[in-house]
Amino acid sequence: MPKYHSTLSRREFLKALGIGAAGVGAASLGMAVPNLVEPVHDLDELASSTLAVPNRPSYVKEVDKPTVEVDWSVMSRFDYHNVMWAAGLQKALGKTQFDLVNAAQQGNRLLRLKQNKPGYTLRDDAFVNAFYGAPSSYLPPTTNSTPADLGVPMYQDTPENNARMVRAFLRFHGAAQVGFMELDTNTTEKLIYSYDTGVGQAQGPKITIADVDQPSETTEERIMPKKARWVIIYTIRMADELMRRAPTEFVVGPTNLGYNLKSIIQGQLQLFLRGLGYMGLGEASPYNDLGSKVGMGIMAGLGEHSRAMHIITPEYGLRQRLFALVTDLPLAPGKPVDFGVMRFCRVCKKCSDICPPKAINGETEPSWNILGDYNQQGIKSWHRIEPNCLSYIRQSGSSQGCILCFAVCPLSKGKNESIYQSLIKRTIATTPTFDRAIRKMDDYLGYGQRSDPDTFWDMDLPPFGWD
Amino acid sequence: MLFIIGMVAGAGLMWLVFWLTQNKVAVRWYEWILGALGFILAVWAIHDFFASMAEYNEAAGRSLLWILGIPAIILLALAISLPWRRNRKLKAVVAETVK
Repeated sequence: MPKYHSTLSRREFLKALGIGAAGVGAASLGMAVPNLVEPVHDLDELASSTLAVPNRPSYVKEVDKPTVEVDWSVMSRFDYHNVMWAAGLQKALGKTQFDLVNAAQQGNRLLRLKQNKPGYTLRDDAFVNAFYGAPSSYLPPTTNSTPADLGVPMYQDTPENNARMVRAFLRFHGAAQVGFMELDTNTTEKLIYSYDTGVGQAQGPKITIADVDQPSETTEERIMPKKARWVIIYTIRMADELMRRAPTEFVVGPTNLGYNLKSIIQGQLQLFLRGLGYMGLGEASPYNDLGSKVGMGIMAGLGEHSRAMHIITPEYGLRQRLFALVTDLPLAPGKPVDFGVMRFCRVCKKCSDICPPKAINGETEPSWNILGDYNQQGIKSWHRIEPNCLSYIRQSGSSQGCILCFAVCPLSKGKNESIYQSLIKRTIATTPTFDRAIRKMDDYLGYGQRSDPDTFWDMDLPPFGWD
Repeated sequence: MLFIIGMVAGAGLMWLVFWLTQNKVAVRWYEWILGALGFILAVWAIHDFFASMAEYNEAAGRSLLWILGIPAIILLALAISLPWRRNRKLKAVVAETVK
């Protein structure tokens, strides 16, 4: 496999220059200076796209099994009807309670609008509800030519090169991280939902994996050909400054933006794969469909499972949204990673401590026991009390979001330009003894939730709120 | 920023060594270590202060500035005062002997 290095980030380059400059001074005093910058070996390396190479810190170790324990023999494909955002909340609460919660949402929304409460004012409310909802489909669009249309053979390369190509494509189109997973009937295939539904839908189509040549869909069923064995998992960042304004309306902005961008990126990826002669089976709505993206992201090595039951990545912590697409283009799969998250979550518990409805489990050790149909079986995790989470969101008067857990997690810190934060991440990965002290320092230093949500309107944030 | 710090540190170290040699000031090994530690902490404090401000973590920036900055000042003060006091005494003894 050809290896196109681009090992030097802007920050590392400046660091090296700084060390080099100190070296100039030191060398003049006759001191030996080690060569701290990796040499460029050839022109291919120099010309290669940095976007095609995941540049992970050295403390992120690849492991054979994910750090969260999974019992694949117990796990079965999850029915998305049971998710709170689909039909799960009504099923868990009952019709009467469900109607009361929804009435409370509308009532509290209007109350806060009238009170002009920061984070819930008319402009904040309008900001959140300016969600365009770009189209998203399971089957790819058909607006471009396939190799068959052009009378040329379909694109062929090694799985490694294909993976690098797809990563470069997705990074260019706005994905933050890109990973790959291979579907295996007895294990990872169970991460594909048995039933697919959109947000708020009571009934969605069944997903059937079958030995057919082409995918198809009706309102009752989506057919996924067995030959489509590879999953592309990609993330879209969530603006840190808005996430820190949890649990107000602001936190919904990055979520909505993520869904919109995903719909555009997914359509472009589907067309790209179609242009190469392959199928791209996407998420049918702008929201969460197709399969467990957290599970897929973990298996692909994008990050680790966490107490909040979301993926924590080394780069952005909890602050990204995950999306997936199934294809028959052979792709080299990634491996799970370990950078200390599962160990740290046992001790930290900050998300659980701060969760207003106590939906996040505060037990030290994870458990195999699930709390309802809404939890996935076969995962030794801190299973969330899901109805508490969405009920709180609804009753708090926010349109869709709380996400305080995303705001306060000590591993979710935006650009991470400070040396302190780099050291903290390295320490969590290598020296669990300091986990408790790190949590205490995080509290003391005042990271996380902001108390002045309205300052957003005066900030000069970069496009999409990312750095 | 680290580039500028590196340039200033390199030039500063060069100037310091020349100055100490010229003025025949003896500096013991542990005083170099104290100075280096103080300097590293000072750079760290300043760097993380500006980095935290750029990330809108104002409270963390201020806390890190004093948590790292105060030990930096103490170490730097020790690294400067120890050789200065010793050399002042030494010069006084030499002057006494010459008389």
